[in-house]
Amino acid sequence: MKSPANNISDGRLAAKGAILTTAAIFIYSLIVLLYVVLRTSFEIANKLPVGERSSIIFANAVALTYTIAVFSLLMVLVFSITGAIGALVIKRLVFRFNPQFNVRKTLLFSGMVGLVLLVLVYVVLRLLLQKWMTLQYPETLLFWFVFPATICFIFYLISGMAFNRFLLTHYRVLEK
Amino acid sequence: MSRIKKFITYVLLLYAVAVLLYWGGVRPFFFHWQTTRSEQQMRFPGDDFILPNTVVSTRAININAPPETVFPWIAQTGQNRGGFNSYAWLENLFGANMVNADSIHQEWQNVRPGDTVYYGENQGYDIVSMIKPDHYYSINGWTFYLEPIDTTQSRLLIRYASMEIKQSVFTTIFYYALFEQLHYIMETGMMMGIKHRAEKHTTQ
Repeated sequence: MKSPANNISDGRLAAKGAILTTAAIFIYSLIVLLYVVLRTSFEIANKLPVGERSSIIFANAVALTYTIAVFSLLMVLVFSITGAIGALVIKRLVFRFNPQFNVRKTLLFSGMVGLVLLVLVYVVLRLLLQKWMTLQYPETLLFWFVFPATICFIFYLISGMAFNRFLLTHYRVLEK
Repeated sequence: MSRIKKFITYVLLLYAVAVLLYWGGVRPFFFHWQTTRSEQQMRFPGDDFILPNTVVSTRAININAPPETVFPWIAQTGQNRGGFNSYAWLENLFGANMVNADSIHQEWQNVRPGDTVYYGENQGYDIVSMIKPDHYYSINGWTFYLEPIDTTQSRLLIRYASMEIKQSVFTTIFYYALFEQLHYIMETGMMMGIKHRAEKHTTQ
């Protein structure tokens, strides 16, 4: 039997990991965008008379989208690397310890790898941003790490399941 | 995977449109928000503190309150005083630990040149350079200028000069990619916040 590992190149898998993480970051950035645009627009509507509101609300939304675009692209740079590394590590773990492609085991590996990588990201952020990445500044910690990391972790689990499904399909095809 | 790639493409398109809109139309609107040509060209008391290679903006807002009612809100500006009257919840995402005061605090009214104004808790700060109660207040060239329109209304003009953007490539990128838009959002938020608070105070 030919090993399915030969059919999945490391480069393609790393690219898929990076793409999935990018999607996770973009989902988070859209949630943040919606929240800040709605909240600032509501505040502007409360402070300015009707005739003066619309142009400033529009300009504000454009400026916020620009800012969030820059921030999310910066986050993509950091998180997509972890996504690529994560995908490769999961592949190695599955082929080494889960040759039957048991979905639960693959999920466990995906979760563990995701967790370890996110802890590493946290360590880097903690070194860079110091006390702002502690519970002393809960809003900063939640916004810059906890929320995006949670979305990334969920993506790790979903990707793990998809990867396992892919392996099972290929394995059966190759066995035949 | 193709759906995910499509999603990423759409988000990138949305962001590209925002960048184009910003540079194409919103940026000029920001720079001289609600000001007349003469106000843009007018000399402000703090202009001597403006350094070369900076990007200068002038913005204005009409307030239904006389200058003496508006000025106390400006005098207590700073994270170490009554906040910036802007979006404190947004500033706090950057660890500013900002609280906007909803009343006038007498202990913060006696501001003098040389006093420190913090932008966030243990973050950057500037020094008050000029102050004339009910007329103007300048933090190192960032000048808040009040003009009476009549006995019940005033016009608040704010002139802001950015950091020296030609210091390094990093400063230039940082300014154009992030700082400028954020500053616009926060400064207009502050002007609306001052208006809101001063008018509320007048009607009470």
